[in-house]
Amino acid sequence: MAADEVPYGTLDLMVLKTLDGLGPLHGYGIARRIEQVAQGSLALNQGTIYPALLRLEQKRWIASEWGTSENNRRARFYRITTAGRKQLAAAAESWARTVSMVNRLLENEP
Amino acid sequence: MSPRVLLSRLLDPLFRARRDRRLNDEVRLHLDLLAEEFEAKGLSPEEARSAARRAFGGVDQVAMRYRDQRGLPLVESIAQDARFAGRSLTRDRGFAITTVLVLALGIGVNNMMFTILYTHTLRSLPVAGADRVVFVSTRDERNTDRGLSWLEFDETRQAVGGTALAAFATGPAALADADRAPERVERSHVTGQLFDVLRIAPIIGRVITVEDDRPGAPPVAVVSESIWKASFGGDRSVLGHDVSIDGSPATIVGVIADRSGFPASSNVWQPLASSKSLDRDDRAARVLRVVGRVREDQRMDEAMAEVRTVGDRLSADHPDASRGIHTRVVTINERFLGRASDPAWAAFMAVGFLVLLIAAANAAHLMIARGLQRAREVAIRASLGASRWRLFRQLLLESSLLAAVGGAIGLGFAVAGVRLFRQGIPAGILPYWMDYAIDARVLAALVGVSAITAVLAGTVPALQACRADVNDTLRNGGARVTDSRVGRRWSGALLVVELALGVVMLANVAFSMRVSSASVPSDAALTTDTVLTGLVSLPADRYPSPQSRLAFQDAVKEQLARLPGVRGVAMASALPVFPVSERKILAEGQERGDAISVRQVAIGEEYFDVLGLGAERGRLFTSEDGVPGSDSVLVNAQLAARLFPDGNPVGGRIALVPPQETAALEWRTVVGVAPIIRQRPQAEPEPIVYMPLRLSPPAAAAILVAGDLPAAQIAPAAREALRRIDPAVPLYDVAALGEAVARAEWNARLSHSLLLALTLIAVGLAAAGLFAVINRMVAGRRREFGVRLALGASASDVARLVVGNAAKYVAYGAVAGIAAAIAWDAAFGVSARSQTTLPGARLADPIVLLAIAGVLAAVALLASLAPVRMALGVDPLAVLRQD
Repeated sequence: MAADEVPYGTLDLMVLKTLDGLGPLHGYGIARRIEQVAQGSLALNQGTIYPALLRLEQKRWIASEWGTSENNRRARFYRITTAGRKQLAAAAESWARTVSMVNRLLENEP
Repeated sequence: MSPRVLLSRLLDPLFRARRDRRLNDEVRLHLDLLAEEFEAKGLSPEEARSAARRAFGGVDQVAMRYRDQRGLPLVESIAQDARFAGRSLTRDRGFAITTVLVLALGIGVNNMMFTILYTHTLRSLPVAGADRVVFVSTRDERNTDRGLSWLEFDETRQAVGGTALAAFATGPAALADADRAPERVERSHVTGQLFDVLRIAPIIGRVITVEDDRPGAPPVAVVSESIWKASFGGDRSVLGHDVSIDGSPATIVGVIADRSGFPASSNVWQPLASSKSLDRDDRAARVLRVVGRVREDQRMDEAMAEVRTVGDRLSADHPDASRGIHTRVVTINERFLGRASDPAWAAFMAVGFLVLLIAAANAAHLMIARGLQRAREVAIRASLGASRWRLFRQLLLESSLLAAVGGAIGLGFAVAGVRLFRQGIPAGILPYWMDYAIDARVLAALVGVSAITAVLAGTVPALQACRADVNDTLRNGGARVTDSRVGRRWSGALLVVELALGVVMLANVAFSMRVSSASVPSDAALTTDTVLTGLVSLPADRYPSPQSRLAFQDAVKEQLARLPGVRGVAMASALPVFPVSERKILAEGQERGDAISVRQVAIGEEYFDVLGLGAERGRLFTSEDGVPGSDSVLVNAQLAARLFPDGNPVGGRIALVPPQETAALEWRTVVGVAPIIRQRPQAEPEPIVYMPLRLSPPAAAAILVAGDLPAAQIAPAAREALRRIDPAVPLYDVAALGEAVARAEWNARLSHSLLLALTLIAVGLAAAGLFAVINRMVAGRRREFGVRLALGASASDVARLVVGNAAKYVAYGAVAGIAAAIAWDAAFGVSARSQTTLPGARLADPIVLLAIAGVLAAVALLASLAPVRMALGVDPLAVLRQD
């Protein structure tokens, strides 16, 4: 399915980072933010955000509650938990390590 | 999966509705916000809405993945699939019923045959610790299952250290006491260790011990529970009761439970020391059966080898009495149950799996045909986000459901089949440990076989159905689906084999029915209920000489003839249809090597008269035959034809060839040709020689009493008359002649029924297979039929096309089957071996084969009815519109 164009596992990391940076957001807000940052370089089927949100919530890395959106609609707001922050730090570090390793590998290629 | 996620998933069913609502709300809001955004960019409301949907991706796919993430998707979706499969199968009832029945037949036959195999070979004997009990016997070139002589047993027992050995010998005896008529029992003389070796404990009293098994010990007996209940009222006072066994006194000291005794046929046990017939000095009198229990500290293989070595050394030490005698040691289970790996059992079970395989193949055809019809449904589900795996699983689940229902019904078939099979075997034939119970292991086999069948029958159809091209199928509305060409060719080949098999089996049944039902004139005489029959067996110690046995016979005839309503009394060595011994015979002018094997019956002079039959030529026996100085014999027409092909047998000379090479031939004169009587159930009449009974009166004889009354009314008086002659000789197996003959025929009848049932199943499966293949053909060519109808083909054209296709398979199958029948007959000589004298009766009989072809044609017509209806039901307009 098209959502797989997001590298596997990175959607979770992007969601956590977004919530960490911007505070509580609803699903639409998260999806828009990720698209903004990607600047069109990512073909995200926005719907795929919801299974990811559920997954993160099951792991208690994020929590959610009902609130009111900017246009006064009932919306579900997600926020990052303490456990989520820890996970984000660990995942970000591991991501950075992986990226720099891959980069070194690619740069050393003659 | 972390425990926390698992918990969330496990709890999901509680919150399912709420979570579904929550996702709905979130998605709606998301879409609204997206649409507003697009509208703000200047799109019309409708355009904005569809752009929002595109950006969001498939709502249903998201919902599905969301659900997968939420609960336990495997369990949940399987439950959902099962509900769906159940619904779709009830909608397509014809398909479901046919498939279930086909599978039930295959699984049922398989399970029935497994139950029988299991009972006969795989169960253990009901002996405690049976795996450490061995059976010792001897073999030579002529006989692979001889016993041991007393000397051999005694010396082996003393020389062997690793195994405790015990011996027994079983034979008929008469049990009587002061106030009861004698009763025929099976008595085993046993050594003092037998009950210990087999760990058989008494219900009351005690068993026979080493102290009892000494010369001069007080005579004792142990009886079975059923004798205790039937003859002694189940009262404890039986202990210490004095009885007479074959005329010798004995005291009953114990009772052992039915279904625990050994050997199974015994119901009275006495010490071997009290046996009057055991020859303790003849090393070649091998009448003892020997069992042993290997000591706990010994290895089985070493202990068995020790017994074998000791036995073979004894044979080597006594070359005169033991030339060529080898000792054989096997476990008791192997001796009495046989091995499942025995070729006969392997063939038996192979048939069971062949039937299952054919049934599974037929079910697969039916499912493929159905898959072709519902290609559209599958394509729609695929386009709605169902993964290939999910579709495959769904289809496999459907076949599993069918196999499960088929297995349940198959269990019913198996239970009924085993019960019918069991009823075909008269009581007392099988040892008590063969009771064909369907236990946990048989059920486990059933479940396993059902599961394998589901996979066998379901995999290919499921793969084929979910491999179809989604786009193509949707575009043409499911009307144009492609069937696999290779698969079709294979299924056609399988069908031809099924049909050919049906032809061969039908030809075989027709042949054996013709041969066995061909009547001989005596058949009517043998079904009568006014001839009473019974057996007597004279104890050797009371009737040691031919003269004493002759005196007994004369007394029997005299006493019985006096009874009211009795017209005639005869004795013989065996009843009609019952097995008799064989004898080698040659005619004058033939060499000793030309001797032929024939059946030999010794009869009293009244025998044929009692049966109401007269001589075909010459005369029958009189009281002058069989006395010293007379050399008369009778032959039947079959023997006359063999020995005197072109002359009158009456007055001809024939010689009986003694078993010893060096002994002189015994020449006798044929005085008449006897009427034809079978001595083998439902078989062609064979050559028989009749000897006068007086010549050598046998210890075991049959008595026939012809009366004006039904046999049952004469029976009590006849028993009483025999008791007056000798209380130690009971009349047993008392029955009307017709009844006795029917009983003797059980084996042949049972194998006939089994053959007939298997044939019907084979033909039924072939018919189902034909239906399935034609159905599949029509399902795969629906578009073609639509076009044909649109172009003006009439209903009868289409019908002819479908029926023609069926006829093609039947023609191939019939030709292959007829060829196979002819080849089989030629290769194995089925017709020749049956020695049939019926004109034109052979396996590959043209008229029978033509009739079978006719039956198959009718089957083909029937099997193509539903497919023709399906072909005609294609809507030409719908087909054309889709192109």
